Parts: sequence; C-alpha cells; structure tokens
Amino acid sequence: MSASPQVAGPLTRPGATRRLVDRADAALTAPGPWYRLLEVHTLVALVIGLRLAVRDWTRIADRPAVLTQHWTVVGWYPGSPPAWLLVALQVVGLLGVVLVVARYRGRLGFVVAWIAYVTLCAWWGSSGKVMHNDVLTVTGAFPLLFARPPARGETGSSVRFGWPPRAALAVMACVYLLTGLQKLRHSGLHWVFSDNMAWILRQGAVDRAGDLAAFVADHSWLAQGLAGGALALELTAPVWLAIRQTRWLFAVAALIMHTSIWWLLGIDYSAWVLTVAAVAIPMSLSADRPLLWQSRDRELVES
Amino acid sequence: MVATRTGDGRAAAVGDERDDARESRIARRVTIGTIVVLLLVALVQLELWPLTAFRLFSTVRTGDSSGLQLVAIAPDGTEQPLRLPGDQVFSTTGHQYPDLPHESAAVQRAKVRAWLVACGIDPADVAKVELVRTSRSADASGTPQVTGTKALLEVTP
Repeated sequence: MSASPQVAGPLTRPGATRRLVDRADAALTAPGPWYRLLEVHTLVALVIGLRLAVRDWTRIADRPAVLTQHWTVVGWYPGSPPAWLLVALQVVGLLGVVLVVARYRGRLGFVVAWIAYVTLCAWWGSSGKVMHNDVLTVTGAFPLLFARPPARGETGSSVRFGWPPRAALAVMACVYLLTGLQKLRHSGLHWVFSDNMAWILRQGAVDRAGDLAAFVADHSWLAQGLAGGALALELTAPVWLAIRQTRWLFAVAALIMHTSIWWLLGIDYSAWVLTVAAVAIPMSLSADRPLLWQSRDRELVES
Repeated sequence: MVATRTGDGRAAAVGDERDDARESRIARRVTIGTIVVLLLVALVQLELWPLTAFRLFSTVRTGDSSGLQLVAIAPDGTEQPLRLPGDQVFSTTGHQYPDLPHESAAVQRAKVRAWLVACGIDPADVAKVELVRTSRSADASGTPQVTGTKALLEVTP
C-alpha cells in the first residue's frame, strides 16, 4: 500500500504532460467566432500597411551595391534594387492591405502585403546590422497567411476562425520569451543585477532624454528595476498572453516598455507595440464580444 | 422532404467535421512548425532576416567600450573621421567595419570608396583611409576617456 504513491508519481508524470499538451491543443483548435479572425487579420494588415506607407523605401536604392549585405531572405538578389521596383512593391503591398480591409480577396491581399513588406524590410536591413524593428510584425503575421477569413455574409463559429489569432498570440509569446532567454543565455542575471542598464543608458541615450537617462543611471536601484522589469516581462510573456484577461495588460506593458526604450535610446519598436495591440487586445475580449463590429452585425452573431 | 433535409443536414455536419479536422491539422502544423523554427534559429544563433536569434541588448554593457572608425587622411596628413549619413539604411553600413580587414583588397577599396562618396569626400583627395579601433573607459559619472587607438587597416582608395 505504501508503495503506491511512489509508483503513482513517475506513472502520472507522462499523463500530466499529455494532459498539458492536450489542453494546449484543445485551446489552439477550439472554435472561434468569425469576427475575431476578421478583427485580427484586418488590424495586423493595417499595421503592415502603416509600416509600408510611412517609410521612404527608395533610400535602399541609394545604398551602393558593394555595401549591400546578403544575409536576408532576399540575399539572392544581386546588388541594390532600383527605386522603381521598391515603389512598385510598396504600392502592391498597400493594395494588398486595401483588399484585406475591403474584404475582397482578403486572404490573397494579406499574403501579397506580407510578401511585399518582408521583401522591403529585408532590403532595408541589408546594411550589416540585424534590424529587429519589424521582425515581430513579420513573424506574428506569419500564421495569418494560412488563415481563411470569413467572406462577406459568412458568420458563425468554427475551428477555421478560431486558430489563426491564437497561433499569432503563441508566436508573439515565443518571440518575447526568446528575447528574454537570450539575455539570460549570454549574460545571466548579471543583465539585471549589475550596472548593465546604467551603462546602456549612459552610452546610448539620445539628446532629448539625456537628463532622465543620467538620473536613472545614477540610481542603480532604478536602473536595475528597469532591467528586471523588462526581462520579467519578456520571460513571462507566454503566461500573460495565454490568459485572456491579462492579454490587454501585456499590450499596455509592452507599450510602456517600448515607448521608454524609444524615449531614452531612440530605438523605434512601434511596430512591436502595434502588432501586440492588434492581436492581444481583440483576443482579450470574451468570445461573444466583437471589437469592431457593433449592433447589426452583433445581432447576426447572436442569431 | 424531411428525410431529404435530414440527409442534407447530416451531409453538412460531416462536411463541417471534415473542415474542422482539416483546419485543426493546419493549425498544429503552422503553430508548432513556426515555434520550432524560431527556437532552432535562436539555438544555433542564425541571422538570416527575418529569421533571427532575437539578441536584443543581450550582452552586459560596462564602462569600457571600443568602436571602429574610418579616418580619411589627405596627402598633407590632415585626418578626417568619416561620419556616415544619419539615415538607418546608410548609418548601419558601419556595422561592416569589423569585416573589412577580412575582405579582399579589391572589395576593401570598393567599400572604402563608397563610404567616402557617401560622406561627401572625393576619393581623389584622399591619400589613404585607416580603420581605427578606439578604446574608451568611462568613470562613475559616465564621462568617457579615450584609453587607446590602434590602426587595424590601411586602404588606398
């Protein structure tokens, strides 16, 4: 009799793992309402559209071919692309976003916009430095390439509408987790409990935030608090994003973290903030509550 | 009619189940596949954008730092550090400086000429360009002091 708990431990361990996997699988493949996929699909497309629209991509053409590095997905392309090709890609990408928003061939539109965006960003970043400014948007949007958004008049709840936003959430969580794990891998907890953040601020602060950066750097508890908060947020992202009620909080926390980085160091992670918001905020609502579609469409939902 | 409708209903239900099963398979393949790729890329530290190891500020900074700089030297010995244009596309080409000593002489010359032109300097007015490593150490107030400079490479443009 006394042996049974000892036997039960190792025997139940695989069962517990199995149950966890089954729960994750069930959560991923559970039916979801049509409007949630439409919201996330449209909002992420709009983020891509905004990034495509605001940048002068023709600057890429000014970079001499000899200074173009080829460690990207467009590394096969010889030299620098001509300005007309860059503008054409920008326009085609924006047209793709228009198709998504208009709900006319939205799936095709999303794929076109994503490919144009990836291509332009890859060329933009072919100067020798690994650029992460747009990589969360590109990666988080990837699962949505396989989504079949509802056509006009198509409603209801199904696996087809449910999984793509959840997959996007899972991929975003993985990205944030990896940024935290790489800090631990290469620096350990020294990343937090040392003068690391103080020196980041002293060496990298932009002029507008010089006084604030110096103030934080001169107060080690504050600098270490910032570093600890950032690392904790990255490492716990999967938890925040797994629980529906905390997803919007993660979006707010990410906004605060990336905005403070931008204000102090001048590094623009606005695409990360927008992408997190585009996915996490609709996914923080209960399944019966649309974000964008009200009254008439809601009646359709309830019927 | 009832029988027909029942039959249609069953067919529709079977169709829905098949559609759900197909979508579930896609969901698993896409989600697990993407996450596995992200983890593997991070593990092997591959950088092939948009595949990246996600190393954002992952190393510890200290008061000691070093940086590379190109310095154009005129025939009369006048030195002029190259200041790359501020936009992101051009300014980040400076991240290629560490690779410059490992390039062939022809590539070194072509790159140096491209950087000179980008900085508004006529290569014909330059006798040579040096790649200089500058080491700095900062005191507790954060004020950096140059502790050493070393020319790593000389290129005639």
